[in-house]
Amino acid sequence: MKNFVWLLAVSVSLSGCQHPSLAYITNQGDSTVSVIDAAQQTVTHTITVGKAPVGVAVSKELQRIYISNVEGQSISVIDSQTLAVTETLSIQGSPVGVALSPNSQTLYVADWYSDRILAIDTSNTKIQREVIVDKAPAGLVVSPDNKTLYVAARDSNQIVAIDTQSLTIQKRIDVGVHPFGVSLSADGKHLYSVNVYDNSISMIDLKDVEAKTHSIKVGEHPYCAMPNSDNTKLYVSNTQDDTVSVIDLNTRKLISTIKVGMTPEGLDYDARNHQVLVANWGTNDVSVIDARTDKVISTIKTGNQSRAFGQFVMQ
Amino acid sequence: MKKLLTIIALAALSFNAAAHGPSPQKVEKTIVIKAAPAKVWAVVKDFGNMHAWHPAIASTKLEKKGDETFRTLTLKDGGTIYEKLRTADDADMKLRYEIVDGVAPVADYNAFMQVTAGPGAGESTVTWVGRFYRTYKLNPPIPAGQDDETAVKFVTGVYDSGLANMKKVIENSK
Repeated sequence: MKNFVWLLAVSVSLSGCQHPSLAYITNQGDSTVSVIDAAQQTVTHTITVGKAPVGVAVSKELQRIYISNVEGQSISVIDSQTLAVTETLSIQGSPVGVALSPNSQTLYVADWYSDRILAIDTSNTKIQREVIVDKAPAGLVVSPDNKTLYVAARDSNQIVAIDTQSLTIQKRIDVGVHPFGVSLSADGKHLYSVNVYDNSISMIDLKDVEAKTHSIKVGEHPYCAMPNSDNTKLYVSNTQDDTVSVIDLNTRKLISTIKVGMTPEGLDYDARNHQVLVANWGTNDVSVIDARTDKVISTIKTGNQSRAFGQFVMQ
Repeated sequence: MKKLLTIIALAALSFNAAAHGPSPQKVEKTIVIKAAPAKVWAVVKDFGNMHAWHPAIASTKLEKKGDETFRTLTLKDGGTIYEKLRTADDADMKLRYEIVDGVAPVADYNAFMQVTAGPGAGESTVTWVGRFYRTYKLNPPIPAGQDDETAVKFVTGVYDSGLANMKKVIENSK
């Protein structure tokens, strides 16, 4: 019996390894989510969600995908096995950015006009806490140690650091003008703020914020950034240049500008396949960039006005 | 056309620095013009001369501020729209601009017009794409006249009437 259980556990974890990387792309204009098999570079399913979906957060642990429907004023919870919407959470506001804690116990939702962050217990979504931050919270990311939630406060030109236990503001970090996307290096030591209005990335050394914030110019109206898994390169979507900037994180220099679809917004790194996926709002598709060559290797048709704001690849 | 002017007249909303809406809107329109791309591009890139082809515009005033170029469009009903030229790329035959201020019932509007050759010999295609937000900047309920529908309808009207007349103007000029 014991052997059998052990065998079962091994086979489950093995089949887990064989699961493909899947990308969940929100399509604002269709109110749907396209599911992409990232290795095959094809859309396998399309799921209907609430009105004008924007944000995505994925949990392999819970086998769930959380989608923010900003005009629908709700969060759709999708079961990644059945691809059914199992729950729709009503939000009294305008939910945009979403992120999960590393242990998947808490879903954070940025409420654009109400300047607040909701912290929702994923095991009982009725249990919600909230914290008021600064103007127009957008991108969210939680530190790997689960201690800090970082919020891009777009109209305050700051990244707000929130203690996840007490849900209180610890620190405000000045960045460029109108930060929208925010991401962290895998080790949690570096934060990247994407500043829409001054076309820059603020690279912040979280150990020494004052001394080590670097600003790097990218393309026109950048939205989102994501480092590769060994943290040597940062990929940035430039919505009004139709490009992705590649920054060398050691030299902090722009090393490449890649032409993608029209109005690229959400961007994520697929570590398993060493590729970057970019959702193009203007051309209704996803560009796949090979992160070894930094060339577009494929373009996948999705739905109308693809956004995919957040970490949308489940690996 | 009359409808378009009515919409413009009804909109008395100005821009501010507060957060725009969370859902950008898009209008994309194309038209085929029987003229060489170079000829069509010359009309499209002429930023200070929009009244020459757009039927809702009475006059265009071009302004240079340092390296930057702006234009004030005076509409036939008297309202104005103030726009900034972003780029005029001859190689791509692509003009990018944005609305800075004015009576248009949109927020954070940016757009491009691009000329491509074809589909037939001696023909050009003009593509006009705008991205913008509704003017209402708070949670729902969204008042009529400040919603997505109003913004999209306005831009659609501007593009449809403008492209149709541009075709006429260019094809009639020898």
